[in-house]
Amino acid sequence: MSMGFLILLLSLIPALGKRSGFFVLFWILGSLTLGYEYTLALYGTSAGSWIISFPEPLGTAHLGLNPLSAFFGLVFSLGLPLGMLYGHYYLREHQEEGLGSHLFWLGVMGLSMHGILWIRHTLLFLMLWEVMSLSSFFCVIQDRDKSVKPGLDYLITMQVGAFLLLIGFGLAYLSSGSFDFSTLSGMNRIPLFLLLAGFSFKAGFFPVASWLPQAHPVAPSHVSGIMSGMMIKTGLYGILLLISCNLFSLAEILVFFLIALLSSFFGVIHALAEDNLKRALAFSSIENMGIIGLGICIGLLGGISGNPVMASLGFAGALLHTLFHSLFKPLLFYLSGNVLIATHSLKIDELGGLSKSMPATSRLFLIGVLAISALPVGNGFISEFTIYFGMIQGLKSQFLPAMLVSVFALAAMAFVGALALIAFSKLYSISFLGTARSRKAEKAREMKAGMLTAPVILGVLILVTGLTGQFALLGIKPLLSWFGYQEEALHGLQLVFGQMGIVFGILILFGLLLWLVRRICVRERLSNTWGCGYQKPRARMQYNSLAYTQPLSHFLKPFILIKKTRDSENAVFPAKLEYRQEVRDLVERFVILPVTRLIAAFLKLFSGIHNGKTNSYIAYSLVVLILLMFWVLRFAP
Amino acid sequence: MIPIVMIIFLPLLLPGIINRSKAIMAGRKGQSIFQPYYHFAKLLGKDEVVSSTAGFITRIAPLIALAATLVAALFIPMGWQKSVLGFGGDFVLVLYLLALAKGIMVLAAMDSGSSFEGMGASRELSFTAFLEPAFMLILSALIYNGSLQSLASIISWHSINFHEVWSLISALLIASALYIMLLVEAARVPFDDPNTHLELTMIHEVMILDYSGFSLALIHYTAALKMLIYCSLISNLLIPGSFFWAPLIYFVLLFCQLVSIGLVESLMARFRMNRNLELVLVPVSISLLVMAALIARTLGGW
Repeated sequence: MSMGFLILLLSLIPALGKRSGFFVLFWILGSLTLGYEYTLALYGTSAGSWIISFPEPLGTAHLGLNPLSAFFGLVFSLGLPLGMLYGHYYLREHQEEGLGSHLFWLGVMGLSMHGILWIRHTLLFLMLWEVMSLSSFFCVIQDRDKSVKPGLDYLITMQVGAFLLLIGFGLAYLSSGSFDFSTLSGMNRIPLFLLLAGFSFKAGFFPVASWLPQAHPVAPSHVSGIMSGMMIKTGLYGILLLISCNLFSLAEILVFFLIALLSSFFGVIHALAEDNLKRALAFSSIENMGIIGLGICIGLLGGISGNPVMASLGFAGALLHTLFHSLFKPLLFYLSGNVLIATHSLKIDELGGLSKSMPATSRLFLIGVLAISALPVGNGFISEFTIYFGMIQGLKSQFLPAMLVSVFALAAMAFVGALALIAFSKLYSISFLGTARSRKAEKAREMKAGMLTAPVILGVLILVTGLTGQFALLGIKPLLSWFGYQEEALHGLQLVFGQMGIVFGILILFGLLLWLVRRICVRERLSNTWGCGYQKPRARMQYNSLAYTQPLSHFLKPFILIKKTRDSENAVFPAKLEYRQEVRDLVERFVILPVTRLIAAFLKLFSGIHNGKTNSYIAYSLVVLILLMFWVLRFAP
Repeated sequence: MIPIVMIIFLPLLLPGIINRSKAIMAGRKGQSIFQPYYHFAKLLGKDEVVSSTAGFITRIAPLIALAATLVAALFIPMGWQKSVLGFGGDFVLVLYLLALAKGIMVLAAMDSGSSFEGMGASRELSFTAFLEPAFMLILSALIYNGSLQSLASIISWHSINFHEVWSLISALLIASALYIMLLVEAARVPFDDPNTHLELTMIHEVMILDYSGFSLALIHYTAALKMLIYCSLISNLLIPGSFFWAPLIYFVLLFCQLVSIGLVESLMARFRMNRNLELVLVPVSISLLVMAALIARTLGGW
């Protein structure tokens, strides 16, 4: 442990000296060292532990790993250095002020993410949690012009979450008198739910996820990738930690199920309606967290209905999706970073035709789209299949609620999956296919090799894990026994993945064969796109993002808040007409804003006190003095 | 061996039979039922005209779609024959392989930059949103009543049984849900009209406006294969057990379905595009109904 963290700490020195190359090098080395330790801990050989002693009220702090934190550690030590590597090249293209401080905060953010996995002391955990929120806030506001307001929004949301965590940990301390993590098992309901709610703020579950679509689009692309792929997983880590050592009743699980379902539905319909590349990706993170939540609920239901196979499949699916989401989501964020640098725009209706001007970026993006819409050969399919498999096990359950939830979840996940396919085929086809819709997109050129290194590595990883399901399953197995289920429960899944590998082999073989035949036998001739007889097609005649989702909009209208503005003059002859449509966040508009307004109105009541006049301040102290005098006279013996 | 032969040679017969039955209904003599084969062979030998807007997606999409649909077909029981491949829970894979085929064709349509093709693409995909849950619900109803096995064995386990009223009801209802899904997936009236003369009113046909030659041949074949997949599922559900006459019944059922598609096409007009999605919800509700009935039966002991 000391070795890896030392290397990562050392990386802060080149960071302050603005030497981002060395910074990345240190991060790669440190992550390798830490990754080695995480692997050891995951397979249970040596979970080295350290003890720090504090003066009395704080007690002793244990530092150590369990399989769960080792798993998340592996996710971080894979994802963070790739993010930093991409950031190294991205910052070079996107020259801004304050490179040194940005790298410093980036390093601190990564360090604190690794740190919270080791700490077994609630107070220290909370401190590092705050460090993580603060440092990521500084990373988000790299581009000062437009990111300060969303960044502050993010910071405040995180503070509310941390506040809940503080109360939860405080109550746990009051009832047990210890700051150790062992107090987290078998907790009282109130602190338990406060903690779960606090972690949900970070994880981005349904009602408290509105910071994601605000902070991600304005953050530099490597930061959005790291935050969406890795940092929100720290919230999930907290939730899983609590779930692993507490028992839940059926009603509570059903509430979780509802939240997970709403998260995935809410996330995907907003991703569907959104026309900003990075905002859509942020909404889709909410959807993916919802899918992970569905897996966890299936696991919990299997647990209480005495169906270990269903339980282990649910948890395995959730963990696999956690791992895979940390591969494909950063990939998509990094590639939208490439698009942003090439075109200076993230609005998909201003892009188009990039598949020809940016061939590598567009092909890698296609891999990400495959994975995120859970189509075969992408790795998203493997994890969603595992969750489906768990639900199918639940169909035969004797326990009626588990059975009903399984049926409902199967249909709901298929619905969400189909909507995700629509959302991402829209993002991909409007921004990469067809012809350029604006000058900016016409001028796009492919990025240099550096900007493509991290995406290529991620893309290869996605395909490898997508083709061989058993591979990633190996990393999940030790975790399951830690959750208290037999590894044999996954035996059936392993066999299925074996056969699925063969099927994918046949699929690829067929595809290659057909491609070869076409390559050899067919000659091509180029011609204009058929325009129904119209000879001069223009870029603006293409389908745009609004039209693409129109058939579904009738059904989704009640769930999305869309602001429409239309400037037109009712003249005899049609003049210039402008129509704009913007997706607003429903929760933010109807929950968060009214609540904050209420709080502000309440605080306004007291603002009259602070009126800036010296004489009234003197009057206040006089009143206080007189009151004090009465109090002393009354209570003095 | 027989299923593979059927997968390779049977599909193109299906559109042939539909066309012929439509022609007879309209009082024409009609083309030979083998016409799609001649057409296919002719297209295979031709070179292609590719849109100058098109990128790599247009070139690989028909190949991927065909490969994915072929692999999906390997999981489908062809009448009295067992499927070539199969494992527990394979229906999820089949569903997603078909979604892959559809998704890549949609991307290819968008690749041409034509607004007509975009129109078809968005309509085609929006159907998927309700078809996938319907498929899942149908399968979960079947599994609930049987056991978790491969798609082929689930379906054959549920073959209609005339001595039990529940088997009759659920098989007929599920078959009718699958029949609506077949009409949608095969791009048939009342959801889509393959014979209309206006690009604005088509779905599947408009997506492939810019294809020609070899690729077009593959696309026609893929569409026919998808029709065969759904028809086979329905037929299998309605074959009462496995016995000597099963192959004959399979082909008779297949033929009846195709003729009925032809009849529907001759007697009905296409529905309004913007109301189509509501009809696509029908399979969802039918499968929900079956599921609810089965649960109620288990609980209430009817």
